Amino acid sequence: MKSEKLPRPPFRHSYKTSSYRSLCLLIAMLPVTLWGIYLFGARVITLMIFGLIGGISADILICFILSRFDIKKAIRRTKLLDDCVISLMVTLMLPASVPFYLPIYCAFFAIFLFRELVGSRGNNLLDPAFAGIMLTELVFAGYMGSFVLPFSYHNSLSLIIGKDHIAAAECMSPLQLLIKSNALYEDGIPGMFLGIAPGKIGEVGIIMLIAAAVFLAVMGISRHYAGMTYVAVLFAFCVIFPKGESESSFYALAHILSGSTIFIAVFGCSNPATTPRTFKAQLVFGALLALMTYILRSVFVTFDGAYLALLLLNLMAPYIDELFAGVPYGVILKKRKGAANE
Amino acid sequence: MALNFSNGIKPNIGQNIAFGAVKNFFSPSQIRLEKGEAEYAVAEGEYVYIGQPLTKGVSPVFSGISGNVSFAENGDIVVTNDFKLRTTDRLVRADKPLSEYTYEELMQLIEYHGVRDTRDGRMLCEILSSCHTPQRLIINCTETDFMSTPVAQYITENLTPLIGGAKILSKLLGVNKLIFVCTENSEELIGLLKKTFGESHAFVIAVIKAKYPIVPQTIYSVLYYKQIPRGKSCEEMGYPIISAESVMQTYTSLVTGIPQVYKLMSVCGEMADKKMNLYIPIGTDISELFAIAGIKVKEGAVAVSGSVYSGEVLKNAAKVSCTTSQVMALKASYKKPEKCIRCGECINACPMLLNVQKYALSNEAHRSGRKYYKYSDICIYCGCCEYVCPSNIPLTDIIRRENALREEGSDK
Repeated sequence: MKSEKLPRPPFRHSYKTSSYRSLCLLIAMLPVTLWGIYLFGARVITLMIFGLIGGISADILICFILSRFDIKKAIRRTKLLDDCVISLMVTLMLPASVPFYLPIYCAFFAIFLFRELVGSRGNNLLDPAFAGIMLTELVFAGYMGSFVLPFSYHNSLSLIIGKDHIAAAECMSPLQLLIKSNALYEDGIPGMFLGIAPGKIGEVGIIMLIAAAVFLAVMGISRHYAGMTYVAVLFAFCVIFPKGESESSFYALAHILSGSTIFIAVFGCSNPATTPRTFKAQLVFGALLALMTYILRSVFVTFDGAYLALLLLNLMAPYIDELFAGVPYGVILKKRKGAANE
Repeated sequence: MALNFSNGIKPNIGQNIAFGAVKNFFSPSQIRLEKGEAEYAVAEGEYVYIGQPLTKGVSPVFSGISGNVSFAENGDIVVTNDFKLRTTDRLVRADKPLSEYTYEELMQLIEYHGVRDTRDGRMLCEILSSCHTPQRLIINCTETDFMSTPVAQYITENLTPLIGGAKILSKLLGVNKLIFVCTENSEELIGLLKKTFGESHAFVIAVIKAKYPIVPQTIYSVLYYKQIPRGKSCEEMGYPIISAESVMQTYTSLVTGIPQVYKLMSVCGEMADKKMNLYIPIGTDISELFAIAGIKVKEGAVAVSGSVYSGEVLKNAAKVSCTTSQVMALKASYKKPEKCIRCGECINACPMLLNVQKYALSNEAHRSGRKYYKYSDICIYCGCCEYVCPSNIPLTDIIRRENALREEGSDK
């Protein structure tokens, strides 16, 4: 950078550096991960490790290429904390029954393709973790839609799980039930809220996700304006336009508590690179995300409508930001000036 | 009558200004002053007193200490302190009630005492020399930022010069309303001002949130819910904003006759073992400042003057001037800037509502010759954006460079 040569008068910087942000996100994901391990067995640990291997190796590979095949430079260039955040986030969005190569594949492409090649870190058009998951959904739709019952305890050490084992524990997730047959999960809303339900590793622990949101807010990483708007507007849509025979409020709660709604509200809406920056723009982003999620889930019966909606909104984020950009002090809008003159 | 404003100035990092009482006076071993274009009024070896003019002309340079002139060449005057604190008996003070002075006489007195040297003094002279008469005078009794001199504290301890100075200036300018702007945490000062002025409509106490940075533009927008049009100043809009310190200095100069030879300032910083507020002679060497204040500075520290966000690194030869409000000992660490991660922290931190992120992103674009962000001249260089930037991007430097390039371009 040219500016490195310039004299630097201020010597103070906020402690909230990029590494601090990544570290806070990692800590925020810890309770959700632990809940996933408690619910789906130690196999989750193995999935996490494989995810980390995939993510870090992707970063090292791209740094190796960019530093002209100098391994020392490549290692210095790697962004380990950020790699860990994306890899863990990706693994949290996988069902516990997926094959072990899937987190490697998913984390690898999330970092290699969606973080580094499409825009590079901080300038991504799409959230790398969510884009990686969507790619996996497209390629491995069968694995991604297969869930197991909580406490079915797969052996974490076995690399290959027998199909029979998975089949024995296989079941539908509350969101699948809701979208495909407009029915509520048999354990009801309390079970979903407490996080004792089938689903993706990190998406079932609602209480843990709320704890993560509170932690991120306290640490100043995200104020969750977009996330809270998303949840509130989605709830409102579901209450106003319910489907099926169940009570509209229960239907709305099931939408919020099942699937990826809370996970997206906490982690998807707090990525600064792919979400708007100003307060008003964040509210609009959250509302549009909710609208899109509702349409994709209810009208197009898309099980992963929330992910798709998030990625579509990611693309729209710069335009939403532009729309609600503040006017600098001293710059009076022509319209206002005209009105004042009148 | 007190006004309260609910909307504040971003970002919320300047609250809880907490400094101790102002230590009255610290005497350095010598002072070094610049004579400018004026002629020397003293020769080497001559004994000078506090308040004695060292140069000739309408706005001379004064000595803040008593002692011998040890050097008077190349535009510099060095006075060595004898620590006897002798004040000259030839002080130029008002010899009749101020109400009996004509406008020209008061102007001459103000100019003579050096108030004109500061931005506020210059602004006053400009207003006075122009035909436009403002309706009100806004007196800024706030700390510009949370590291600056505790102005409110000092005023609370010395209210008479503020009130006296405000009355003189209101008479001079012909304004019918005086507005004292205080931060909400200056409760003692607000109470004192209310007690002094009672229910008079000619005096207004405006209480604003203690948020950083409180500069004329932001005071204006908070008080009047309006923006200053681009390229204009508060004075041009008819709302002159003057610092309380200048008002007090005006009064002191006219009543006691002692010109502006001292400066109220803070000595602090993360590398200093304690903070201190001083009233120190102008011309004191920065290198001596920490020593005479009894502050131990850790190894590797750098003295920085100005605001904590937009200061300048002081060299050893630097000295206290009439615009120095604080000197900080800060860690001379350099954090390598990383690529912008588009977090938007800078946008939310900017008190001028600039889209600062565009500068961070355009840093790379300079090489490709992309056009500069058109509002860069609005920047007040407060450095809020740089402080919050997680990627350590030198945003203030980038904006400074943009403005310099823009000026170069407009010159052509």
